[in-house]
Amino acid sequence: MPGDPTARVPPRRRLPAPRSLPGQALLVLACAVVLVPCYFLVLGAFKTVPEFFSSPFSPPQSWGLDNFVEAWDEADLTTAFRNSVLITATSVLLSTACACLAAYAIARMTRGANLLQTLFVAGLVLPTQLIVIAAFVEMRWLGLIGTPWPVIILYAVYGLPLAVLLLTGFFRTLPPQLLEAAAIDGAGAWRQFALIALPLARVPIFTVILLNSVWTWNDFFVPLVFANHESLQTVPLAILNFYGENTTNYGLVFAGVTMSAIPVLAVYILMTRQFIGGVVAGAIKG
Amino acid sequence: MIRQKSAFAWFLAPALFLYLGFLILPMVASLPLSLFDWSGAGPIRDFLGLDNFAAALRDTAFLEAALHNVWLFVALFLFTNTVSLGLAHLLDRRYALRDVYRAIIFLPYVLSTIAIGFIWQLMLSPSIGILNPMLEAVGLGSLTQVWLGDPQFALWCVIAAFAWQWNALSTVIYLAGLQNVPKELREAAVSDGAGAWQVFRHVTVPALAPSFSTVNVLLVIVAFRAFEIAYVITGPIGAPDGATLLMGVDIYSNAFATSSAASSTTTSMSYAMAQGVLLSITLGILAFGLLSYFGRRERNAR
Repeated sequence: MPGDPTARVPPRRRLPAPRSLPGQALLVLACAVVLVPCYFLVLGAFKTVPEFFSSPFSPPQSWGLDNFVEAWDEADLTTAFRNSVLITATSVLLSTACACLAAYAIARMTRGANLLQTLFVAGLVLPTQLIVIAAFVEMRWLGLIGTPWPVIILYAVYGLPLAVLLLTGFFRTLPPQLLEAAAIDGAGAWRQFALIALPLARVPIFTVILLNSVWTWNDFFVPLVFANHESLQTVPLAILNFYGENTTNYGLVFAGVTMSAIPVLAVYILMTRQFIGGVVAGAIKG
Repeated sequence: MIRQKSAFAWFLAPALFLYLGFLILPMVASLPLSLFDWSGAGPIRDFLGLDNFAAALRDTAFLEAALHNVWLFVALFLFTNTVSLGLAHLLDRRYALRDVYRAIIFLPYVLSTIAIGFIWQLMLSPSIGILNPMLEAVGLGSLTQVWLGDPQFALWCVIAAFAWQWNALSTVIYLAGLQNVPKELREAAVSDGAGAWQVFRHVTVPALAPSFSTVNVLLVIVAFRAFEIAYVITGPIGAPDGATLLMGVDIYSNAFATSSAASSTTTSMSYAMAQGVLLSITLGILAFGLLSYFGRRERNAR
């Protein structure tokens, strides 16, 4: 597994490495470039507007949660969080379920497997703008505009390529003897899938759910096109609209952005290794 | 086995239904729609043939946007193949803080584009931002700018935000590639008397061919599909005055935004679709061109 340090076997003879001081310094610098903007964001979430002008670098005068409470109410984040949770959960479950079935079939097919896989992978290359605009026309024709369904369906569809790719890769590694043995015992294709293959695929399925959930949670292009009513807003869209209405109330905007990032950051901190490993595997196979 | 095959058809059905019905079908349908004069609402009017395409190729706003996408790609290409690769090289050892560094460097990948857009926009702001005060603090006060307000710098600021975001994924892909380079290969080169740079140039880089392919194809897709960060930072018309307009933003504005000021006067769905088709063709040629180029190099390297 890439990125897993335990995979490297230990005779720790090292090559002449310039990694000592200058290397460490560069890494610290790179981390600073990542963290300074985040520091700016989080501190800003506690500041009042005058503080932004008077003391750009210093911590806020008080660590009260006023900005958070006010931003939560004004941006109607209760509705937005509920929408985001429902949309993310439904679409990720739908696409993961469909992808499990499809990936298992593709992995076990002899003819047409490559063609099908290429078809799904092509979805990773197509320009988002065109497919979303074209889908908008279709959704209006179906009379679904104004409901949450276009967003749910499209997220499920856009999650398929990565899910099919990762899961096909996994199902191909299952030894065929395992399934043949079950077939001899009289298990049909469905039972082989549900009782043998699926339980073994827990880890890749979890990775797929993790990656697609974070992507769905963060995306705002699909709701930007489809969620034309406040009651349909997801968190990123609510923040964007909130910013449009409060361009100069920086503290509130930062508090809103910070709250929108907290769930994803929590997941990332708890599962850094699975996350990075899964993303790398997805990118390399794509 | 025959029963198995028909079962596989049922296994494939739900995913294919969703994928063909809501991705491939609308995508294919946009091609004929782009041949008509259609605002997006109301009846489809005259058949225009390729007029929308001809108009797009004469649309200076769209062509300038295309150029911005090219600059975005060039900048990301140069950045990741030096900085990200370098960072991956520095992380390719086991030591105490390695995993912490890696987790921090990867952080931008999990942040939403909304968050990244806001952070960059407000950091660069001449009134409340921290970049200008930082420059002043280190004695470079003469370099302060209005950044996003200045057409000369705005595009590069937006590109910097993209680089900040995509450095994360590029670095961990290169890192994974480096960890797959057989250690014995490098050790053999060292015992043959190669210096650190020679090992890197003649052993590590050739062995990294698959990672170069992955990262650079990814960058083509990122650079030509770019929308979100640019939209958050500089809005639907690529302020100031179209200086940061990208193709994706222009297409979106032509399809939906009622006041697409910087762009052409034709504000219509069919026109946006024609632009989208042109973008798809560009993206397809570049992505598959790069893939086959790297594929050949990989085979030659073996």
